[in-house]
Amino acid sequence: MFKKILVANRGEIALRVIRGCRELGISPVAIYSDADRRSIHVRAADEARHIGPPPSSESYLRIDRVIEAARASGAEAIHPGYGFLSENAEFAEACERAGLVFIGPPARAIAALGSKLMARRIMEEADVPVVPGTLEPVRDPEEARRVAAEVGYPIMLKASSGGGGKGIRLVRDEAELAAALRDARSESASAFGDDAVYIEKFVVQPRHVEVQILGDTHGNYVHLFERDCSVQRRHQKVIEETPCPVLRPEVRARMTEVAIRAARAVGYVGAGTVEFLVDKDQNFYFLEVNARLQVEHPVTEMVTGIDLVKAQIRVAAGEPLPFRQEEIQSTGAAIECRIYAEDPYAGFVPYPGLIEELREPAGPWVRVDGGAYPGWRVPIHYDSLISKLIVWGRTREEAIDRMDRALGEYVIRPIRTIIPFHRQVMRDPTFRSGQYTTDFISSTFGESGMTSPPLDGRVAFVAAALAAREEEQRERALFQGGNGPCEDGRSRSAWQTIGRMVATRRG
Amino acid sequence: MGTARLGSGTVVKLEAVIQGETHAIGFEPLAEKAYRVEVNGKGFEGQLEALPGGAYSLIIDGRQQEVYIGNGPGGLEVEVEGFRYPVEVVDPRKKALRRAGGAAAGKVVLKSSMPGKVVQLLVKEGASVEAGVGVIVLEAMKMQNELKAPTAGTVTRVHVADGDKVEANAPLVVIEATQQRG
Repeated sequence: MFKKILVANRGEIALRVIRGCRELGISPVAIYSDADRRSIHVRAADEARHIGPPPSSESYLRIDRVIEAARASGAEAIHPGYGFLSENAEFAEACERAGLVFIGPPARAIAALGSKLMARRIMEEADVPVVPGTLEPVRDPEEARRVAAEVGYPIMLKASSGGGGKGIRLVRDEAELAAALRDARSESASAFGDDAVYIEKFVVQPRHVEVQILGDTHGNYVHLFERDCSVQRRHQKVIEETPCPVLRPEVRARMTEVAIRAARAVGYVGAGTVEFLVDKDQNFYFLEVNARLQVEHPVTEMVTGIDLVKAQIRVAAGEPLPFRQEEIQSTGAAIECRIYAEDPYAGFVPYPGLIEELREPAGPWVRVDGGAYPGWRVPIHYDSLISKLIVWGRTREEAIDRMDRALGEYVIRPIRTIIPFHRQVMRDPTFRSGQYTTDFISSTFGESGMTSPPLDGRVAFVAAALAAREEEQRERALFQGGNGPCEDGRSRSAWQTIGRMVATRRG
Repeated sequence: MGTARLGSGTVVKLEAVIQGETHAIGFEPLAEKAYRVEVNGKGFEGQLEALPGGAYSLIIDGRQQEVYIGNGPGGLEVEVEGFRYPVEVVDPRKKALRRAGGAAAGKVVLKSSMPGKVVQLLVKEGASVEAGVGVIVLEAMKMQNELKAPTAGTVTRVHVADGDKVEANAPLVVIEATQQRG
């Protein structure tokens, strides 16, 4: 077992990995950019190495600096978290060359899966159903037009090296195709350095359902059931849950079996996720494999009782999986709400800034995976995910009500977060029914975001608080003796103000 | 704010516009932390605790509710059970003066809510705008955001140009409202 692991990430996932290390008695090493010196993951580590200025391209994405930090600290292994270098085959290879264990799949598996096109081809050969479309990048608008007509509109243009919702365009008809192809290509080139784009049939109103798999270095594979991640905004996941509330048992059985077949087909090692699109008839199609731990892994941990980070570390240390498939059970239901520093009342505009007040929810079966604390400044250089709230319930309904309760306790001020949006969703009849698809957010809330429920009887409390605050402010102005403006806008001297207030003050 | 003697206490009178409705509020402190509040003619007695950070815990007729009051870029905001409500507090005496004096134009300063960069100005000085029309596009945290005119009016001042970097709460564009508010 390792004695020391370098965590090549930041924020909530770095803290998550550090916690796994601590429980295994492994010393964690943090890396940080200038913007993250005061972050929780640095404060939680045994060692911390500075790796550059705030921009990721000059810090967390710098393979040379990360490897150097590992070497300098004597770490034997590197855990890449998610995002950043976690699916970078070059990084995995660099670790190997440096004699460091990369906690994840082998570089060649990452490379094979990182090209969405190659992954599709591998899966087709392994008899894994894929979404109809191209197995090669489209060469030109002419070819795109021909394939799109064959596959049938609506179609999706997708970046071959893509992820995180970038380089994706929905094309409803041929008239939109040329411009969409241009946009997808340029977005992909700037985000991933590669403009290869392929075509996929757009499955109408799909659900996004993914299967968690674990593979060790001894050829053992297990699945840890599925997660439904259909509540998305602009292709970014916002709420995830397990189990998928509508999946029929025989579909679940087939899907998990296919997921294992997919993992075997690429010789996968470690924790990975096989993503599928599910249509209204519960036909499922392979989308891609995420060759890393996912943001939403906690919901799987809550229903199975299995710590995925520790499992990753054990597998990387060469241990065989400590459980067989038959021993893995899914009990109850779990939901995760991603807490983004975005304003849900203003079109989800990002809201970085200083957190002054923070109260995390607690109580039965409530879990917060977060990186925030009062006095911490949410940086502008990285994405706006600051924490995840996860709850477990014996039934889905209990989990939803528990999440609503926990959200009501979660206070983060004065920055804005999407906490009220999540509360709105927990109370939404479509969400509660489980009959939602990937267009749930856009069709329920539109582009502008949410509005608050009516205050009704609570107006009296608001009124009293407003009036109390007014009175407080007048008292403060009086005793500070400053030259404040009076009602008609002219400045008054402090003496005049005090004189007036004394005359009207209560006896 | 309007004040008046009422019995032994000083009553704070104000109007608050919440969710499009105007509420007439009267507030009279009684003994320590106890008060009488009147909302649109209905009276309550209650007790109030000011908590750190701008929140209040109020007990009215035995019911407890926490209310947080803060400032947003658009003005005063109230948070109840995590949901946010913009609030406009009006001094009834100022309102009466304004009505008596005729329509007065209000000035609205559009500010950036966070540090970022000006991607594109959609209006020039002198342009007239409708409420809800896009005025300026800012970029921050790898996302673009279009700010809209909160009221109809004329753009009297533009403080920035395409490509400028801005701080949080930096004034961007000033719009002189042509409609009377309140």
